[in-house]
This record gives sequence, structure tokens and C-alpha cells, in this order.
Amino acid sequence: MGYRALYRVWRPQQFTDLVGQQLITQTLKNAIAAKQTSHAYLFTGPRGTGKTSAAKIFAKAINCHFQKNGEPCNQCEICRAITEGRLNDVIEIDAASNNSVDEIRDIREKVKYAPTQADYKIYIIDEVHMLSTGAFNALLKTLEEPPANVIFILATTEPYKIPATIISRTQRFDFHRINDQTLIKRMEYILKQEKVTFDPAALEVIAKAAAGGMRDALSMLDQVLSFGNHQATLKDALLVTGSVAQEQLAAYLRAVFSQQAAPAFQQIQQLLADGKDPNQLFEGLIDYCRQLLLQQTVFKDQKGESNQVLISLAKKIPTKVIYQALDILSQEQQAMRFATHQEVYLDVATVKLCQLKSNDRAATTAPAEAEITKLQTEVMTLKKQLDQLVQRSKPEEKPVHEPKKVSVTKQTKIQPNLKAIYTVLGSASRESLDELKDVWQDLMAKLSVTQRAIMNVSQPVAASQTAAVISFQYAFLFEKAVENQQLQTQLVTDLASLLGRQVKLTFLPQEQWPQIRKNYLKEYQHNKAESTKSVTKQAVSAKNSQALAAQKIWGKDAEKLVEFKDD
Amino acid sequence: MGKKDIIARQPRLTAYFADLIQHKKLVHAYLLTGPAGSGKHELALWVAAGLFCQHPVKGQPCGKCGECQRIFSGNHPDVIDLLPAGNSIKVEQTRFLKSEFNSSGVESRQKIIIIENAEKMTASAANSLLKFIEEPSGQITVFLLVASLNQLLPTIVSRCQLFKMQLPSEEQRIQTYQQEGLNTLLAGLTVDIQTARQLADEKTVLELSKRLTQWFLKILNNEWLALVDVQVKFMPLITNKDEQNLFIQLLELFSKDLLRCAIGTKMVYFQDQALQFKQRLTKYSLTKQLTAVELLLNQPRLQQENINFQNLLEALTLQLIKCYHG
Amino acid sequence: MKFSIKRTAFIQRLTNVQRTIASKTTIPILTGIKLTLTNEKLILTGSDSDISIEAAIIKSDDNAQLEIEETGATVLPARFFSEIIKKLPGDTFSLNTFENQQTQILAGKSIFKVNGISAEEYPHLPEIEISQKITLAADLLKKVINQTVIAASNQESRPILTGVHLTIYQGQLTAVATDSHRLSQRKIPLDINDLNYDVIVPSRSLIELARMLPDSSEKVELRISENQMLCFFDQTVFYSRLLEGNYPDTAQLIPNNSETELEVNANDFLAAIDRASLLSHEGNYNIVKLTLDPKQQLAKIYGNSPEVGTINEVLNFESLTGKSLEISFNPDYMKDALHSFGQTTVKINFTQPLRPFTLTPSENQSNFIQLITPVRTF
Repeated sequence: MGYRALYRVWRPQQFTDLVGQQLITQTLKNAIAAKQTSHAYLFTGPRGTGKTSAAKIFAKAINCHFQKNGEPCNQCEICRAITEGRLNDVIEIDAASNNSVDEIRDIREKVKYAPTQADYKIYIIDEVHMLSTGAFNALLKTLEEPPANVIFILATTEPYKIPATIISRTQRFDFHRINDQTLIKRMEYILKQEKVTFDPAALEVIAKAAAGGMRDALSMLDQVLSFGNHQATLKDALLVTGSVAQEQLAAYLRAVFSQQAAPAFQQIQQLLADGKDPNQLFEGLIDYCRQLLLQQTVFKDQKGESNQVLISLAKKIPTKVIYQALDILSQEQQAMRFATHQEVYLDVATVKLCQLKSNDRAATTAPAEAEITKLQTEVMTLKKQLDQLVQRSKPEEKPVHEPKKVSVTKQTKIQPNLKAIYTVLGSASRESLDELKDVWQDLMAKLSVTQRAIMNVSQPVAASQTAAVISFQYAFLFEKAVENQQLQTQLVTDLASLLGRQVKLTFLPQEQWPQIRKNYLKEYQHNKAESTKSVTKQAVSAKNSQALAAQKIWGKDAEKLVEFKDD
Repeated sequence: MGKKDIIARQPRLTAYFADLIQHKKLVHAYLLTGPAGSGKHELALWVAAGLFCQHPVKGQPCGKCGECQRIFSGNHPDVIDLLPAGNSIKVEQTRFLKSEFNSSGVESRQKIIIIENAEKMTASAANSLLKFIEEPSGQITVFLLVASLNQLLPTIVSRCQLFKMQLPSEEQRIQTYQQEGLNTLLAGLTVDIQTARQLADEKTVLELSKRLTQWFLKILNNEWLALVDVQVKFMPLITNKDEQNLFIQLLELFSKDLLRCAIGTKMVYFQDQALQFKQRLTKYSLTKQLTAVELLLNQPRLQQENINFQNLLEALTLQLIKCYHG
Repeated sequence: MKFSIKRTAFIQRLTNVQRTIASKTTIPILTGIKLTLTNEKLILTGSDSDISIEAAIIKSDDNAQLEIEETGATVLPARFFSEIIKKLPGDTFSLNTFENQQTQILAGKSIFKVNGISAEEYPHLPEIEISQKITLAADLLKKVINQTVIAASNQESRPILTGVHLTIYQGQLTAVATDSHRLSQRKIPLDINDLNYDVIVPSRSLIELARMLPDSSEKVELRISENQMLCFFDQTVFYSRLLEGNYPDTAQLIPNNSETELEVNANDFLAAIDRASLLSHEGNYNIVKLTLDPKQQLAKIYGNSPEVGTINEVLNFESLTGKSLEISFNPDYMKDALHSFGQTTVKINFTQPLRPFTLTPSENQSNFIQLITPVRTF
């Protein structure tokens, strides 16, 4: 085999090599140089931050006879023996497998034996949080009355599991996560020593993924090198760390923030197919959003070198939206933790993110609210007028209606009001439809039983702010609804009370809906195409838009007129 | 488990490891992650065979020689395979492992240690392995195999090189399963076609999924009988933790399909009733449909909180009815 | 494979091999016993992967009456096989293996059929060139083992110390063991000069080997490969795996100067220590104190248990020179060390109260040394 992992080859052998923990290493060096060491130390901190390395360097420095300024010489027999782990007086105990009371008692007894070769006997107890309560108590005794020339170094990643009585008898050093810059610097140093070419961007990706752990960083670097035939490329770094390239994150966010669900989904699919992990995607997206926020707030006015994509995206998206996006992302990431099919949560997040901006616009456009209240009052007055109207016309209408109905059924089928439908389609939006769908069930609940019998098979298929197209599963119910004036009035008033605005309803049978929509699209495109071509056609479309405008002005009445005409 | 098979399934990783074997650049610890049936164990054995094979071709094992055969039959004394004893890998087992870490091989110095389901190591077992995984003496390569990284100690992960098994995409899987005459739902449950066949034969999964769709249709129709379904239809088929997990997985797949429905694409796992769902669901707004999906997707988390499973599903039923029918 | 053999001779070999076969193992084939039949002999092999034993029965052995009909090899389930052989009727039995590894065992009127496994599947034990051998007397090897394994550690925390460090260098074999509180080192001259080895053998294996070695000066052969140590004796090959890692540099531990020197009869001193430890075992710390006063020519041993009482004993000694000294140590270590010397006088060399002291036989001081670390009592 003969290949040794980088983190093993480049394990720090003196305090200076132990990067990212200057405060700690300086304190320890001073203590050794001044011969003022404690008899017990507690080293805590996340994995790969140098706890065990520091402990071993400490063991060397305090026992080395050629120690300079608290640094071991690493040349003498004692230093070498400690480095190779074969000095009897430096006892490394892994508390996980020696965690019983008996085993700690054994230490307590053996502590009394004088060192065989070195000046100090050093006990390095790793993963000390794994000791049982009994074992901690046994250890406590030893820490209380330590024999001279014995030093305990306890190391753990989980300090909160250490009893306070132990902590209070030790000098505690908290090792911190190593920041990205320090990790990168160390990797650069190692790569230069190993004479390996590298892409700085690759190191950045690795540093980010290592999350403050030097060993993590070097393990990943090793893997990148093994892929890249002894050179560190960004591509391999992304592959090894499973990180997602900044451009891909940006592309995804650009898609969702402009409500383009399709490309966003495609992006997700591609990333998952490349073997990216949903969790890392979430991490990446959250980090990118964080960068956007930073760009908007902290770095607003500086940084020429920063990447343009980020800056342009940061300019485009309102801060509030980014906050909301962060909420959605972290919420889904949380929910995902215990799931087997984590990619679903990504999909959910995508859909939610795509909805963001529109909601936001509705919420932020303050004038709209005033408009709504104004409209509401208007509606109320109109409604009153209408009610009066309906009541007055009731007695006469009934007889008039019946023959008509007969004649209608005898005649060919009632045709849907195409013009009205086209009008709706002209200004239809997904949000309006959603809004309508949300209240549809409530609307149904307000109807009488007979009315509900007609409307039960209906559903909104398109809607604008002011009008909607309702489709009926069965043609005869559609006809019934078209004829039932009272029902229509009821629907419109109820809807107004639910939505806070007037919405005109146009009915159609479901079977015709696909065709009508198709025709509309064709005509719409046709119009569009034509309008660019010839002036005459332009006039026509102008006329069209005039008609639309007129309808908009006339509102409900116009609609009614049209319907009656059709009747 | 032929050797050809693993090369076809993991072309990238087999090529990578063959190269390392050839140039003697294997490091001391690898972590392979991927769902059951993704070929982790086969890959680890394949690498072991590559190391020991008498006639390797560019780091690839021949698969025929005595060494290869002994490795694949589990009889090679220097290829050690550790499986959880019962539900977890306990300290006693890691003791044995540690003695293996410290001694030379039986036949040569080269050794391979494979720890299957490494996430099942108890905390103390995992902790006690740390030192040995970090600095093994001798020519040892350790393969830790896990389904998901989440459950593994970060201190273990940072000592290993991490590899994710390549998986066929959902589409490819569905296609293959369809060609094999298997229900597409199974493609969501396992990447291993053998397991899929087994599941199809056992019928529980398909029966559960059928009942699941019926239950959901009732909810959409605002039928309160859906609530009774939980006790009458589901619980008899969900008697242990494994079946609970299975059902939770079905819910996840189902919500995946519901989401597809909401954004206007085709349902793929629950194809049989797809049309009925589509008809009933289109009248709901996207927001409402999303809320329902999220209710379903909340279940994996809730399941972890030791709530009685039946209560969990009944609560879900009520929440869904409320969501759809106000 | 086809042969017939006398049952008693077979059982004797089988028992030797079977002691290594573990009932629980991760490698299924190791629950089996391998039979190999060549034109000259029948070889039985058993292994628990740490220790493997091959025992041969040769054709020329009159006690065995081995009749070889057809050579071959197979692996049979050890437990069943040995039960079967032990319960067979008659003095001899014959064994016949067919192509599909099915094996027929015939004795008198009973026929057993046992399913075997292909011998190809069985671990291949290393073969080492015969030229690389080290020859020494069985009883000497046994002594070397027994004198050193006592100091080996039985703790897992430093696995390397559970072994005995064997170095063969310039015609000398050095065996050292230490648990980091005591050390035992034995050197013996060899009749070869050109071989150099440096290996660590698990003490468990060595203890097992010592148990099997004959108590005679019969020659045994040691051979060492990169991963196993082999020992040949009496038609038996004993294999042990080696430990991997760096053994402490023990040469550094042994002090080469001395401030105080005590010479005592090992047996007398052992008896005195034994008496003192009666009380020390009762206390929290298992310690006895030795006071040496060369000026007054006085050596005293003191044991104490706060609950029970104390013991004071003035020692008989051959000589006492150097500075006066007070030193405390674990009496059990001292007892183990003294035991290993047998009936002889030993020289104990002290430097300082807190530095390890050594025990050597008065004659031939360089061949055998025991080192004990004192205990701090202040």
C-alpha cells in the first residue's frame, strides 16, 4: 500500500504547525517555557480542530530536554518515540473502549508508578465523554490528588457530557472551528510542499465543505488528488465534496425568483442525477441566499472582484423575498431530516419558492388595499341595488323564463359565451385562479341544496381579477346554470363577500374547454403575429383591445348584456 | 452478484478503485454510502478481490481464481466482514475488530475490513473504533458501508474518504421496472430489482398502497369513513417498526406524486388511480394542494417522536379532510 | 482422498489441532478441520485465524498404521467430525472422499457420510523457505517464553504491549515484553548469524505454544514471515499471526548505572515478599516498601494495611552496597519476576527511589533482566 493519508502525513508536530488555534498554542507554549503547567487539561472542540495533536505536542514539549520556547525539538529520542506512539510514559487511552469503573481504577493505580523513561507521565484520554458516571467519579479521585509528574489531558468533542466536577479540576481549552481562510492557507502550504498544482477555487470549495475541520479538509483534499491524477481541480472538488457549483445555485434561484418552475425543476433533477445530496443542495442554497443578503447589506458599496452573477441577482431580488426564501429552505431542510425520499422536500421548496414573488408583490403593493376597500363599498351598494332590482323583477320574470327554457331545450344546445371567456383568458392569472379555488368550497357551502346540486360538478378553470370561467362536468348542468339567473346573482354576491371584490362568472361545459382554450391560444398568437406584420391587422387588434377596454369599463353589466344576447 | 454486474452498475467507482489498486494507492479508510441494494458490499468485495487476485487485469479482479472465489464466498481469512449482531454493532464486536486491526493478516500482511451497516454501531462502539480508523498499523483498508450519513458520528466521517454509490435515475428505474413487469411504485422503494421482485411477491406493499389510495380518495370525497380506514385497513398491515417505516415511505412517495399532480405533471408511482386523483384535485388551489403535501411530508419527523402510529395516521386523516374541505 | 488409520493415533493428533478451532468465527470455513493426504503423510489443520496448527501423521509411524490409498484434501466440520471419530467402533477406521466433497467414514459396520468443503477454500498458510530457519532446543524456547510473557500487558488500550517483541540480530535472539510498569528481557545465542528479524508475537500465542512444546532438548525450528511466525516440532507446525505496530524502544528503559546494589537468594526473597504482600493486598494500594541501609548492612521490608495491620521483616541477603535507599513497589510484580529466576541468587540494581530498578541473575547478568517501576508514595 505505502500510501498514507495527507492528514496522517501532515499531522502537526509542533505548536506552530497547529493552525487556527493560536491563542491556545501560545498559552500552552508559555506554560511549558515557564514551567507552569497544570496537572490536568481539558481540550474540547469539534472534530479535526487539533485536540489530540495538541495533546501529543504538549507531551513532547514538556518531556523534551531540548525544548525551545515551549516547542519540542522533534529530534531527540523522546520526541521521536512520542511521535511514533511508542513511548511508555505517554499513555493514550480511548475512553470509548475503556470506559468502565474498573478500567479507570486501574489507571488510578497505575498512575502511581513512576515514569519509566521520560520526566512526566502523560495520560491522554480521548473521547472522554464516553466514560460512565462511575468512571468519571473514579477519575475525579485521581484528578483531586494527582501524583507529581503526572499530567492528564482529557479530550472530547462533547464537553457538555463532562461533569462539572471534572471540568472545575482542569484547565479548559476550547478549540474552535478553523476558519476557511486558515484551512485554505494550510492546504496551499501542503500542496506546495507536495508539489501539486491546484485551482484555488477547488480549495475554497473544500474549505467550505470541511466546516472548520482540518482533518475533514485534508481527507477531502486527498480524495480530490486521487481523482485528479495528482492535481486539485474545481470539478473534482465539487464531485468529492458533493457541493453544488455557485453558478448552478444562482441559475436555480434565478429561475424560482422569476417564477419559472419548469427550469427550476429541471435544474434540481440534473443535480440529483449528478449524485448531489438533497441536504447539500439545501445547504448550498441557504448559503447562497446568505451571500445575497450580505451583498445587499454589508458589501453593497464595495468589492469590485466579487462575482457578477451574485451582484446582479442581489440587485434584482427584494430583501424581504430572500428572507422568506431562507425560511422556506430551512423549514424544508428541517422537515426532511427523517425522510427516506428527501428529494420531495426539494420539490416542495421549489414550488413554494416559485410562489414567493407574487405573494410578495400583493403584500407590498400597499395602494391595492385602499383600492380593495373602495371597491368593497362599491360592491355593497351595487349589491343592494341589485337585490332590489331582482326582487322587483321577480314576478314578471318567471312566466317569461319558462317558455324560453322550453324553446332552448328544443333548440340546439346553449353555447358558451365565447367572447366573455376570451376576455377572461386575456387577463387570467394563476394567482386569481388559486384564490378562487381556495374559496370555491366555501362558496358552495353558501348555496341552497338545489343550487348546490347544479354547482357541485363545477370548478373554476380560469380567472382574472374581475372575471372567471367556470366549467361544468355535465353539459345539462351547464345549461341549467346558465338559465338560472337567481343562482348567478347569488354566486356573484357570495363571491364578492368571500373575495372582497366583484367577479363575473362565465360558464362552459367541461367537454368544450380544451377546444375553446386551444382556439383562444391560436387566435391570440395569430393576432400577435399579425399585429407585427400589417398595419390593417393592427387596427383590428386595436379594435379588439378597444372592445376589451370597453368591457372592462362596463364591468358586470356588459357581461350581462352579452349573456342575455346569447340567451 | 457477478463481478461484471458491479462494473456495469458502478462504472465510475470500479474504474477509480481499479486504478488505485493498480498503483497501490488505497488509503486506510473508505466510507461508501447508498441505499440498500446499491452495491456497496459488492463493491467492497470487488476491491478486496482486486487486491488479492492472482491474475488481476489493471487492478480488476479476474473473479475466477482461488483468491477471488474465497473472497466472494466469505472464506478469505484476511477479508473480514462485520455485520451487526441483531440490531446494532456492539462494543464486543468492535473488540474483535480491534484485535484484527492490530494483527497481521493470516496469509499476508494485506487486510481488508468491511463493516456493514456501520450506522448501527452503538455510540461506544463507534467511539472505540475512532483511534484504529485514524491510524491503523499495517496494510489495512477499512470499508464502512452506510445507507445514510446522517446517523454516523462526524468524527468517523472525517477520518474516511467518502464515496456515494451511483444510482440509476428515477426515470431509468421506473423504465426498467416496467420492462420487468413490476409495479412502478417499487421503483420508489428500492434500487435493487431483486428486492423489488421480493416485495412484489410479498404483496404487502402493493396491498398497502392500494389501501392508501382508497383512503385518500375517501378524504377527497369528504367521506369520514377515511378515519375508520386507519384502524380497519392500515393497522392490520402495520404491525412492526419496519412496516411503519414502509408505510411512511409510501406516504412520501404518494406526496411526491401529489406534488407532481399539483404542478401538472404525471403521477408515476400511483399510476392506477392517477386519473381519479387528477379530476378531484384540479379544483383545489396550488396552495391548498401544497398544504396537503406538507401534511404528508411531516409524518417522517412525527414518527420519530414516539407517537402512537395509529394516532398519527388518524390525526393526519383529520388534518387532510380539514385541509381539503375546510 | 482415501486412507485408513488407527483411531487412537488419529484422535491424539486431532485433539492437538482441535484446541485452536473456535466455535464462533466470522470466517465460516474455520469451523472446519482440514485433512490433507500426501504420499507420505496425513496432515490435520485447524485454525482460529490467530493461531493455526498443522499436525502430521507419517506413513512410517507404526502406532498409526496409516494406509494411503489415494491422496487428496478436504475440509470437514470439526465438531461433528471429532465427535464421530471418538464414538466410532473398532480400532481403525477408513475415510474416503468423493468428487463432490462428500466424505464417507467407515468403521466396523457403521458408515457415516459427511459433507465436506473444498480444501481450496481453506486459508493458505504461508510457506517459508527452509533455509530461513532458526533452530533451538524446545525446553529453552519454552523457558524464554515463560520468562517473558509474564511482563506482557493484558490490556487492550495499547494492543502492541500484549505481545512479546522478538528480535533476531547478529546471532542472538532477544525476547522482550513490557506492560509499561515492568519489563522482562531474555537473550539467547543462536547458531545462525545471517538472519535478522524484528517481530511482535501475541503473548496468547506464545503461551499456547509453550504448552505444546515438549519438555526436552529436542530441536525445534522457528521460521518467520512478514505476517506469521512458525514453529516446527514433533511433526507439528504451529503458526501465529504477528502484531502490527511500533514496539517501544526498550533498550532505552534499562538503566546502565546503579547506585545501590542488593544480592539475595531469589527463593528467600520471594518468600519474604509473599509474606509482606499478605497485608498489602488488603490495602487500597498494593505496595510494599523496601528500606536498604548499606552502612548498617540492613535491608528491611515493610507491608501495611490500615485496616488489618503491618508487617516488618529484616531480610537475609548476600551483599548490599552503595547508597541507602527507600523504595516502594508492587509486590506482585516482584513475585512474578522472582518466580522466573528459579533457585538462584539475583542481583537487584537501584538508581533512584523513583526510577525503575532491575533484577538479574548473579551469574550471566546480560542474558536475563527483569525491570520493575517503583510506586510513588509521597
